[in-house]
Amino acid sequence: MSRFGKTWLKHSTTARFVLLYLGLSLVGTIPVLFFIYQQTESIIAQGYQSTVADRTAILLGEYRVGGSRELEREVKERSSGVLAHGILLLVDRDGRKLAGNIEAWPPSLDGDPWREMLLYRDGHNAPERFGLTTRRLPSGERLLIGVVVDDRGPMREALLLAMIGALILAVPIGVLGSLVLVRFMNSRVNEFAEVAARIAAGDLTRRVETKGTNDPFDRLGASLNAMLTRIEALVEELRLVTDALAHDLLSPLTRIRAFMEKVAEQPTDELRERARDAISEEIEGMRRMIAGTLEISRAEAGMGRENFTRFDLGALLRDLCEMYQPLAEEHHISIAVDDPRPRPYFGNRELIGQAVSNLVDNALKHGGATIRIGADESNSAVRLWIADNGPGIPADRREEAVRKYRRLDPARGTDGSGVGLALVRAVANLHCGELRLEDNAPGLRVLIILPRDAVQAPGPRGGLSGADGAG
Amino acid sequence: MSRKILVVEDDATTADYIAKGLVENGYVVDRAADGRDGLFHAVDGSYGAVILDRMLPGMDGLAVLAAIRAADVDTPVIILSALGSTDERVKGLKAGSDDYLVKPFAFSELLARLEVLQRRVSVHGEPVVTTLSCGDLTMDLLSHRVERAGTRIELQPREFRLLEFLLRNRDHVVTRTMMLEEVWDYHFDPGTNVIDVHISRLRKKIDESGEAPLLHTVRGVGYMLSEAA
Repeated sequence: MSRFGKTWLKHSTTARFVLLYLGLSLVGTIPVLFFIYQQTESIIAQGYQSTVADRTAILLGEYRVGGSRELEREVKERSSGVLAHGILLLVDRDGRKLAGNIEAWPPSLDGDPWREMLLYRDGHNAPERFGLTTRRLPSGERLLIGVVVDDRGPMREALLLAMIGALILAVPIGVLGSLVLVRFMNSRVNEFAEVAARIAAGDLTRRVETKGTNDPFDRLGASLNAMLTRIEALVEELRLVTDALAHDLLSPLTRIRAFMEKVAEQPTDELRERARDAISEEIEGMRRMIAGTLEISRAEAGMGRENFTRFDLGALLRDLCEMYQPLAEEHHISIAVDDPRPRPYFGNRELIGQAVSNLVDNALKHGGATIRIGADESNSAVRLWIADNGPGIPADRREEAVRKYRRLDPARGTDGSGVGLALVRAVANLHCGELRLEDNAPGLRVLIILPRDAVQAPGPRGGLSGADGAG
Repeated sequence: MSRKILVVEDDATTADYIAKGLVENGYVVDRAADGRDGLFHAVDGSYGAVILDRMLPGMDGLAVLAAIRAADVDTPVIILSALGSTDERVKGLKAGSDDYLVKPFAFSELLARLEVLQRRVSVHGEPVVTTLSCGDLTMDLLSHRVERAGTRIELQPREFRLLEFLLRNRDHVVTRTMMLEEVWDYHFDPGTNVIDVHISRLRKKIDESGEAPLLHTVRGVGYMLSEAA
């Protein structure tokens, strides 16, 4: 309990919850008890009133039969005997006492249907509380009839005691109930907190255990897990990117330093010139990689939509085909556009151009003897593809191929910035589109799907969908 | 055309590098190290061109450019920027610059672009040219006829535009990116030596007849069409 007491104080939310629960149960109990008290009181009061009314009726009956004299006799008899459980008083029209067991007519009293007041009974030293009523008789006398109401004291006490008892019971039940509830919630929250703490400490593989009950905690856990999976993937990617970027930037720097040292050792003009060319080339390569990386981040962040224009995608494909034609011929590769009709599209011309150029460049480097560029369109989207008949990429390695800085074959990694396909995907995403790598049987077919109404909605982040074996 | 160039660049090393190169090439250079100072100089209007860094203390390069244009000064402006994405280029060009060069750049690239700009300004208002030539190579812009020493040369449309661009910048270096921008109208980086292959094809056609070569490679920079070797 002491451990619990400490945490109870420490976790002010828990404390507040318990207090709230307690408060609510009191707020619920007290009015009920008050209502019961009120009802009981009024029932008791009605009892007194009906006693007085009965006695009044009897005395008035005597009066009707026997007149004032009979009434006076009756009052005298009743007020002196055992009957004197209450009070009776009869006075004449001038207020003088005729009969009864109290001293005199209370001055403030006249014609009330029901009053409660303190009065002295004959032979009693202490005042008692009476409930009473008065009547003026047709012959001028006045009659007072009352009963002791003090005897409801013990009743009240019993009632109050019962109520206090109920309250005293309500408090521990409330506290206990709320503690059980808080404990249950704490245990669930603790599971989450523990996972979060592990993750904060660097273990991104931890997940919240879901019980499949679909209760709010389960749903929270499921969405938390989904978020964690995404974060883990992003962090992993960031780590890869950082490592690869560091490697790819440090290697040229190392080579540049080597060139400089070589020149410092043998400062001949010829070597100087060669070093200059080599260093420019290294710097150009680094510049290209950084530029590519920035371009990807921008596209991934959705920047570049402000430069969307209407342009002809078909013309862009023809341009690029023509641009790469001489280079392809030099490598004895045939390159052609399949269906070179105009295809108006609203998007970022430069970035789509860059993407297609990356793909053609890739196909030239890694593909076979034929490259086909093509496009078709529907009402909702334009599809571009660049297909080669080279070795292709196995289905299980396609996702990897699209990642930044992932060169599938290290031997190929000597040229190219390693951001090619990643940039293509980022450009497709910028247009709310999709990049697919497919089997061209043989070879690789890269498909870019560009929805027509990409501009208004930022839309879903279309990823890579591995369409295995499709061609 | 004024040979006076204003260099607005806050990085002293880069500014020195540019200024030294320009002076060596016969330009007079004024320097400003921040945007306000640069704007103050530029609106004077006596410069042949302004080389403007994009990120400056005090006043952003694009803001300076906007202010220059707002003051009705149409001095050609080349923006230098580390922001190299195609979008940033487009933004710079839209803001009223005449060219956009991404850092890190080779001085030769800057010089080549500067000279193209200078010529563009100086031919402004001259009668429309219908023939271009370099030595015994002639190009008729109306009939699209190209001849070398009286022999007709057949060119593809793109080759024609490439040669036209080289001819218009005769005796001046043009870089690969300049050709990509002018001839293909793309600002992205095609990566491989795409342009070089186009040039070598063009070279085969115009320089094949064993006469003195006209199309020269300028190492590490680009190409130049010139009679001089």
